[in-house]
Amino acid sequence: MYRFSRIQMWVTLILLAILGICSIVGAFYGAEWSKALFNSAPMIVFWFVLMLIFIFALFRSHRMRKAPGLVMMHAACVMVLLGSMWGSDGGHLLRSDLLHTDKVPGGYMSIYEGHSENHIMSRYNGDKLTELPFSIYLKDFWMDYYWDDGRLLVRSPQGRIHVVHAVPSHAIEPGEGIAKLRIVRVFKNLKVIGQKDAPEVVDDPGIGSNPALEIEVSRSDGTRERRYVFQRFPQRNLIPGGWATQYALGIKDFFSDLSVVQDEEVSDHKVIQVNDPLHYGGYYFYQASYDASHGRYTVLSVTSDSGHAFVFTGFFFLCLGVFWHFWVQPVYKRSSNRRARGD
Amino acid sequence: MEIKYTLQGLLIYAAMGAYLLAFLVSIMRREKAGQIMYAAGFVLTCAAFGYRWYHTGHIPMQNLFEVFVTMGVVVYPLSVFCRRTLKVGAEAFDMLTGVIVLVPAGFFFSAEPKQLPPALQCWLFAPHVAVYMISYVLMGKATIQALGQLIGLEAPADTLLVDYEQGTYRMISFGFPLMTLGLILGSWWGHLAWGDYWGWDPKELWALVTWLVYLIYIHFRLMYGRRYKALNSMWAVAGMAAILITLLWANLAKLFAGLHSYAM
Repeated sequence: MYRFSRIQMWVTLILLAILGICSIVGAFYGAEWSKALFNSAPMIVFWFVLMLIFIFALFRSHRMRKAPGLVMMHAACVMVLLGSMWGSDGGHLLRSDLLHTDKVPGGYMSIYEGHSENHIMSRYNGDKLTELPFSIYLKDFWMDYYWDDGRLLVRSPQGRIHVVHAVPSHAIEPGEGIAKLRIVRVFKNLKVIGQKDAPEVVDDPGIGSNPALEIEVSRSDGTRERRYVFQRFPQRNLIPGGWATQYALGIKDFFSDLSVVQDEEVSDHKVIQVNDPLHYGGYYFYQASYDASHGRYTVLSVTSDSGHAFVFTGFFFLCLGVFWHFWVQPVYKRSSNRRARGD
Repeated sequence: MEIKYTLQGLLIYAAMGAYLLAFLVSIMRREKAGQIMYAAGFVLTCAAFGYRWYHTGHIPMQNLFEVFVTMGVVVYPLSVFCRRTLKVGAEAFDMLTGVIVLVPAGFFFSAEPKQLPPALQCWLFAPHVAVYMISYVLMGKATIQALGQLIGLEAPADTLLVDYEQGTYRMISFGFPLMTLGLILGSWWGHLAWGDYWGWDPKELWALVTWLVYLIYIHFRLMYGRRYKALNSMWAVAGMAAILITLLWANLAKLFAGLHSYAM
């Protein structure tokens, strides 16, 4: 290997080792600290030096000329670094200062059902509000549950916990004054309709979600009563005599029915869920959180898409290059050698 | 430590027994019997994997119990492929690897089925975990080769097989693209689920460290070839240490709480 190339390789090794050491330290201090470290001024210099080394290797290394996989890998790393810098907090701030763009790296927005919102609480610059050139309208927010796997938990006055699968007719006999506790009905969306003096409890198939159980409590003295155990309102789940109940139901997914309104017209519409965001106007809108007690509003995480195209194109070429170099090229080389030997 | 008195546990223990027997028989030079036991261990691990899949209703790669069962499944086909195609031997130690990866599933991690949280309901879930597990098993095989070189084991008797140093390089060359793919698939998934393709989470950082260790190995070997065999082998062993931290310590230690805590 040429002496110059060897020096360049050693510099690369040292830079990779520094990156590794910083990552180890960052793992101990957590994500926020690491993000601050890797976006700090010395690390920005580090990223530029690393990128220059890759570019230098692309043009000067004699190995690159014989190995297209190596070219792809190193060019891909340059693309990923460029895209990351462009999309970083610093990249956004720099463009804001120099080019007077108003795009922010990201933030959060809360929207109530039936309302629109065009402000995002930016995570940067002291949580300031940033106005978007369009509004997001939330038509509906709902959750899907693992209905087949719900559990009724019952805590006795003496602190004993009893658990039963939340399926109609399943029962427990906890003792301590209660002979039997039986599940009568499972509601996906419990609603009370009718007059005040004759209310009727129904499972409403329409909009909304209010998971609950109807249970029958048979006491040791022979009395019986019907009660309701709500998944969302634990304060209503007490049974006289010091008993507490809970309807535990695993959440399968969250959904927000969103419309983008720009110039008083709906320009886009999507029902988003975890792993399926809305992409509009240079931002991604992710399902991040929700109103846990009443399910009336949604919380969206908003992320700028700046630099993403570069980063993901870089990822594609990195994969292509690494598989080409380590998997395809050796097979191709072996078969070429065989052909040359006349096997 | 817990013993699982269930069909799931029974299948895992039977698979461990078959792999262990295969190892013992193989080192006593009864290679044909060893191969039969090895294949039996594979079938039993597949049964444990299939039973788990049926029992949970989703591909069993959610937590560490399921991940170790998955690794138990991929050991055998990778071992056969590496011997036949890449000419990398030490198959008896692959059998022992089969036992080692099933021990945590059999005795240490809970087999309590869990529902998939919303973030894991993504088509990238299975490919991301699967390619990582395959790469980890390949890097495990690279570590065995490297240790063979470091302690000065005799070269494989079969002349068609490569020596330990070359075996280490071939295994890392084969596993590294998969590790890269796993890292990129994880990044893509993070972009879909959390809004960031890179979140500086402790598990992500350890995964990056692991990737960098192997990247440094590849660069160093490219520079000096086989001149510093011991150094090459030590880097490969260091890579395995990084894998163990990424796979176990980053998930189990409260020190590294982060977005990947559900993987316990």
